[in-house]
Amino acid sequence: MKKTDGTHTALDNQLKQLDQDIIWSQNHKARLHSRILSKLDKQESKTRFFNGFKFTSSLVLCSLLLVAGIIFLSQNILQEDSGLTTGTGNTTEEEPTLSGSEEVDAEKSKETIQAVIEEEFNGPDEKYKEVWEAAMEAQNNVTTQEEFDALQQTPVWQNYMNYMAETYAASFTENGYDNFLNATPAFMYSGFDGDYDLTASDIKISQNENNLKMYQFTFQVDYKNANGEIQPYLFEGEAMASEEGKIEKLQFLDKDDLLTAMNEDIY
Amino acid sequence: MTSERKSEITEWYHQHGDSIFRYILLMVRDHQQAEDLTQETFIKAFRYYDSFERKANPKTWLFRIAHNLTIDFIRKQKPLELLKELVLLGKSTSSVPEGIVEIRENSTELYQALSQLKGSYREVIVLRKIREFSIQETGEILSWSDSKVKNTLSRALSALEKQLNKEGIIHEKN
Repeated sequence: MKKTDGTHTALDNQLKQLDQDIIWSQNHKARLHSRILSKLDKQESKTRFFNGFKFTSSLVLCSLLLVAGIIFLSQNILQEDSGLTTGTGNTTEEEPTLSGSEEVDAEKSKETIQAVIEEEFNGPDEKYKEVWEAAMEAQNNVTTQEEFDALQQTPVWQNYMNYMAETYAASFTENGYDNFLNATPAFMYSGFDGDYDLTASDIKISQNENNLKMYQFTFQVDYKNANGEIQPYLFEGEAMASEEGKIEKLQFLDKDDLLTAMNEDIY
Repeated sequence: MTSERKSEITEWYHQHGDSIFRYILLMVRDHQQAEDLTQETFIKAFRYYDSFERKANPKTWLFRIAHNLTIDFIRKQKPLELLKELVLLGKSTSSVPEGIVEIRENSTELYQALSQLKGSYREVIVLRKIREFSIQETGEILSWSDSKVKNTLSRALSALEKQLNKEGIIHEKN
């Protein structure tokens, strides 16, 4: 159905024809035109009145400020004349020192961020899906807190937790890892159900000049659906890294709604 | 000066009013609402005239206003539409408008099929294929990136074809 060399498909022509086949009654068109003109006239009067009101109030406000300013200044002058002084003469202020000038291994941080992006957006991750399904099936049988506590000690749950940790924990600080699992969340794309392929590419990461711990990035994800159609999706995001090059915080912005597209392809 | 503003808005109405009405009609599928929203578009354009950047295309700016008004209207209508669907037991509520607007018989099935698509699909088809905005202009109107416009249009056209086939309309392909 692609348009090539300026030619249109039959559907394109039908859509253009639909536009021509919509006949808007001339009477109603004319009536709407009059209504709009009449409303614009009313708006114009309102605008004139409002502008006048604004001008008058600004004038009044300026006058009040002027009077207040004169009273304030004259009081200060009177005080100075009466010989009141304060201070020890030591008026130099120290400039606040910038906090942090800890050295940050920028290259290591960028490599870590890139690795996480490549991991999350290369999928599907069949191993994750396998351990996740097993863990969720086991969780379905749990009804009390005690049972859930017991479940966490079982091999099926341990496998699930260990796999996630093996994949991501080394790239993050402890808090950062918890955040990534729960808030971002990890495996949202690579662990998605269905028949698809994801590949991340064109990853560009830059360090923030004002805050050396902050990084901004953009990248592209090529999504291949079950029909073999490949389409690119743009992402951007930001991350905060510790001085050891571990991620403290990471956020993605799915600019082109890849997740919606993936959902639509399976439902 | 307000009279200059008014004459420019009036000029824009002459140039683009028809186009904007048709776009809104295809989105809301109610001729009365389409007229009201068209009116509202130009009133808003008058009110926010000072915020319009002169180097921008007025048509794109007007359509952006129309899009925002239409989306707000559709959002408010959603609960009512759901109720209507329940009352009418799932029957389509996208009947062909009568009276103010007439749609020639040749295009009624396409109109119905387009009405069945979800809002974002319908909108990108109307803007790209019927109103013939460029990818960039469509992106400006909808606040989408160029790639999102392309991707969504591709899906929208597939969905429209599927809908046409479902309704038993024989659709010729090139």
